[in-house]
Amino acid sequence: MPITYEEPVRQDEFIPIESNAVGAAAQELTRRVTEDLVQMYESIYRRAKLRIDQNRRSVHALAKLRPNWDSYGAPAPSGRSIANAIRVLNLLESLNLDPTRILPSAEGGVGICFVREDRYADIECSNDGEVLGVYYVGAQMPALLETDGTEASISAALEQIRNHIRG
Amino acid sequence: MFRRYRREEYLDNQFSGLGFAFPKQSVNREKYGDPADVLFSNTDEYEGWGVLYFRVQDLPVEFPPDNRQYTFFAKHVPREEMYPHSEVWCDRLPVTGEYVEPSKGVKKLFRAFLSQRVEVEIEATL
Repeated sequence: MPITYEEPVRQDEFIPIESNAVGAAAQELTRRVTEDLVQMYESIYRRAKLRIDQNRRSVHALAKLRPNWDSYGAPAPSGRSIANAIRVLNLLESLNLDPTRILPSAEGGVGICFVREDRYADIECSNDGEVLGVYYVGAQMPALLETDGTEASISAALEQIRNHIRG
Repeated sequence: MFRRYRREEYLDNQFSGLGFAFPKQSVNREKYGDPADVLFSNTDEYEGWGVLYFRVQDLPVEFPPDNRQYTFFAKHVPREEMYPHSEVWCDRLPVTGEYVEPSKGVKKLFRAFLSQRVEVEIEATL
């Protein structure tokens, strides 16, 4: 049998992987996974954005309360307490901490509450401009979170709440 | 002691202290009436509200525990239309016999303290 000479296949003559069946499937898979990831991140971002907007709406809705909303003579939240509650929500955004509920305070003001299992915390923006918080676990003695109303002190209180709630 | 509440004040089985207020939180004394008395209204304005309760003994005679400056107690203040009506009073230590408004920090702590002790007597649907 005669020996025939074959030219070696040159590097640049390899069939590119993207045009063969396996390459196309891999590329399709990569495209789908990328799309799914983008969708997922967009969805997480959208949901977070929706929650933040909803929290802001909840605070603004409290401005419509009338005095005696609790039937025990509670004052309606003041404009000052609403403005401070919005400040707190803005600070919460960077801490990636979602309130469980936003409630009016029977003392007059707005409270932003956090609950996880038996852990509770709230930060209360009073009608007189005071911002005070409290946190506890179960029936343990509550601890006070004092602020002087500055962003730095409110942020510090919120960080303590985040650490407390996340355990 | 009985008090009206709305469902939103309960978060995962925990009553928020934001629902309590100073001065002289109104309550009804168990000794003088029924829980449903606090929902009594000629115009049904409390339909859907619930009733929670705490015990007179839950009011701390010395508070806060690490700096005992105040005492809390129930005072019977009957009203013409509501005999069991009572109030949560605060006095300084040693007692003066007068109502004393505690500091803001103590008020915040006390409201949380009391909220840890309340239980539902009639569940709110509103």
